[in-house]
Amino acid sequence: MLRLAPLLRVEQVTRAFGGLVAVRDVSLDVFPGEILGLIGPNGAGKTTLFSMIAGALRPTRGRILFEGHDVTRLAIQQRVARGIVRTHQIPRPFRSMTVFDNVLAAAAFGRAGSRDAHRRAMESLAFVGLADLARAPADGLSVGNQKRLELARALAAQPRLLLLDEIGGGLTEQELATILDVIRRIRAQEGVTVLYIEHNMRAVMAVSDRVVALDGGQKIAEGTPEQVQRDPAVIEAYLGQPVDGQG
Amino acid sequence: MTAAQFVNLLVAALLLAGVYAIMSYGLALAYGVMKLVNLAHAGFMMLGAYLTLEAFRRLGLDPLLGAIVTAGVLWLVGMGVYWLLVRHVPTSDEPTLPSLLLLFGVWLVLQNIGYFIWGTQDQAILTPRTLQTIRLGPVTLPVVRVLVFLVALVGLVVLHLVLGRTWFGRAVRALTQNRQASRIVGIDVGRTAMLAFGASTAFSGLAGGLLATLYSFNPDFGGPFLLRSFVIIVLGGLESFAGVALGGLVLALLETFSVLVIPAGYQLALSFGLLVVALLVLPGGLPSLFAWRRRL
Amino acid sequence: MSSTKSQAVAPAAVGVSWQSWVRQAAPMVLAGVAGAVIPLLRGDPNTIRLLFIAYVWVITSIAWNILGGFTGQVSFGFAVFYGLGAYTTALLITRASLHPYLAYLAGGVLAALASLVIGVPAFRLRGPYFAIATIGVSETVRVIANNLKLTGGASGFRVVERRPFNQLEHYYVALLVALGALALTLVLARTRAGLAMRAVRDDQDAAAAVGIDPFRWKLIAHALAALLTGIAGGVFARYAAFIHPGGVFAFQTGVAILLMPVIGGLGTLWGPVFGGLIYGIVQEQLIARFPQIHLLLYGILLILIILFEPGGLVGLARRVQRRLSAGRGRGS
Repeated sequence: MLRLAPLLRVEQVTRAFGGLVAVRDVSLDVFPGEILGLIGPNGAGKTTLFSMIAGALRPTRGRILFEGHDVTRLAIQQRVARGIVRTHQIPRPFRSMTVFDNVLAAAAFGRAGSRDAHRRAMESLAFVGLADLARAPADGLSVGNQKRLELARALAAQPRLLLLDEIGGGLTEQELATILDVIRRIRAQEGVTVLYIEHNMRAVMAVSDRVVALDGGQKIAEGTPEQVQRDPAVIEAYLGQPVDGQG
Repeated sequence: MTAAQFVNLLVAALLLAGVYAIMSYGLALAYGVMKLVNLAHAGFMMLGAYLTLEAFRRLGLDPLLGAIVTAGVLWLVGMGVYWLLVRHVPTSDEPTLPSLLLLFGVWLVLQNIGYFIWGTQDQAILTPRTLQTIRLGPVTLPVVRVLVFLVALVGLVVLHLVLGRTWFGRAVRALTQNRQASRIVGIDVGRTAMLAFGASTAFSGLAGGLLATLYSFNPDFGGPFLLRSFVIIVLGGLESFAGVALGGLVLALLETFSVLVIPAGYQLALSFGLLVVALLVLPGGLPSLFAWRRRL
Repeated sequence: MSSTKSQAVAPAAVGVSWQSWVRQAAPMVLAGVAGAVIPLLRGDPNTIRLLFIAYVWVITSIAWNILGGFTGQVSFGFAVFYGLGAYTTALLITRASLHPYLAYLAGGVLAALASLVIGVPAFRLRGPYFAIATIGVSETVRVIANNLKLTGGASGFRVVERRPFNQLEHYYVALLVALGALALTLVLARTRAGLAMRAVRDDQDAAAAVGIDPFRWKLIAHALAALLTGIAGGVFARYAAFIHPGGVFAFQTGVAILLMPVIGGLGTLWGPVFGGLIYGIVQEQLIARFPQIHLLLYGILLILIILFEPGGLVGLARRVQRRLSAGRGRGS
């Protein structure tokens, strides 16, 4: 496979909270156009790492490079301007606004600026299948629709790198399959690179090109979904005991 | 400045710190347990002052005793206010604006009731004790201040015992540290909150009553003390009870000695300035300075 | 802030059709015409004075609503801007013989600059901590003003104007500025800026996650609000011809400026207008009869509103309207 320069490079990033080291010396690359899954048991440091890439947290040590530029110290909205957009694990809609206005805000202030914001907002809503709820208040949506809104909003901001935070949590099998499909289409149609944390193993394996596994704040495996799934260190991390061989 | 003058000022500051600590614990309790930014604290202090005054005037009750009795009355008032009003307002792990505005409304109402009943003129509680002083070596201490300090000290000791030994105290400490975990563990948040709010109000009232023996007052008098209380609990670290005493001491020292340098009218501005700086620079309060040292 | 259903301001599609603009602007035009016509119907000086004061309060209410209602930042310190506008206008008219309208503008601009000086440090604080800081700032400014020789200190400042006093001129100026402020909020609500402000109000972190800089937009809202409040202070100062720190810089003034839009309906277009009008007209009577406790009513109203109808009077009206139309529609 031809390797282009990485879109996102996480360079030996460490994050400590007082005495607790949540992420220790983690490096990874995300290549343009790929879907990279980030897995690991609870407490592995996925969320902390994710927060640092998204800009909600600063690394104690290390750098984060996006398209070659050092974005380690940039504020969240500055990252959005460069094309790093995140969704939230627990959706955070703007509750006093309609679904459309939620997405419009992202379209107007995202990377592409406010030209054609209306059109792009409608397109994003259509993409996730929320077009007919455009005029509904964002407050009071079902969980599945909230997640779709979260996604539509992120898309409307014209991301180059989309950071998905456990988007599958709390969804039915049906809803999950739909969301995964949307994610595939996002990559296919929009050329957006996706980095996403997920607990649901089957979801990750189904949709990712590559997977990185963390445990105890460190990277323990990296490779294709099949490779990582069979990696003994990964199995041990999830089950707590070494297994000899089969995954 | 002579050594005697210095010592006198120092002791004066220490005595003042006692009342400041009591006053701020009132605010700290409401904040710690329910994350309430209790602006009505000023109103309750005012009530404490006036009830102590009335007890003195009509029942001849010694104002120091009166302040304690008033504290008891205000405990009940506080629980009533909580039950009627405060519990209906959304609260969470961060202070909420509705709770802020609600308690602000309560302050307005209390203040205006004060105006209505007692008028706008300054009042003072004057007893034979008011002008007495005692001498300990180079130090001249106004008797009132010493007694006020002692009462405040007793109050602090009681608070410490309650926090350490009773179910209520444990619940308060748990809720202050982590609301969600407390709920999971089975702590009755509603009941604890009501008692805590009552206690908070009682401390405000006690402080108001004690301060009324030191200064003249009118229904407005809670305001500057409210701001001082905020300074103190911010300095003390919003969730540390030991820090509040420390913050009270720091502010008392600052105020007492700053009179030498700046005109009295600007003293309040100094406190506010300190508050803003403290909020910006030390979100964890003074204890966070100690935490830095530990991390290194 | 709390209940959102009574707070939704803009229609579903922001700034799309000119028809919806007209629909929202029409009542403003009507209000303007009504205001213009009133002096012809009932032109006694007392009524004009009452309405003038009410218009000044409408301006401050609209202003506060931009920061507090749209952007969700509660400030107890708007007396600073009111007073700054008042004193700047007063000084420029008296000492520099500047044309009053320019003086109003200068007052507003100075207040806006002050809002940046205050906002840059203060907006680093979240919600209630910001509110507390504004109390501190307000009182500090008042204390400084009390001690400042340049402005007459605590005894106040007398505005000396060579032009003769024309009550109707003041009335129409206040009315025009109030209408202008209202139009400004209409434009804000329906454009990109309004989206940003409401996003910051609803969820500051989520706003950042879609590219909105919360700090920047708080500063912008603060500056706009300060500008309007400063102009209102100037308009008042010239009319009153005498101002003093205990009045224009008083904490109670800042409190009143906050109460009006909250009671009228926070975050709505017309809430501040109702709040300001009611306060202005009723206050006079209240202050005359119950000088000490005139804020008691508003304290109680504030409590009732927080507990039962966070949308204020406008929210209450909407609720009543909904219940009436629901009853009519379904006959239940």
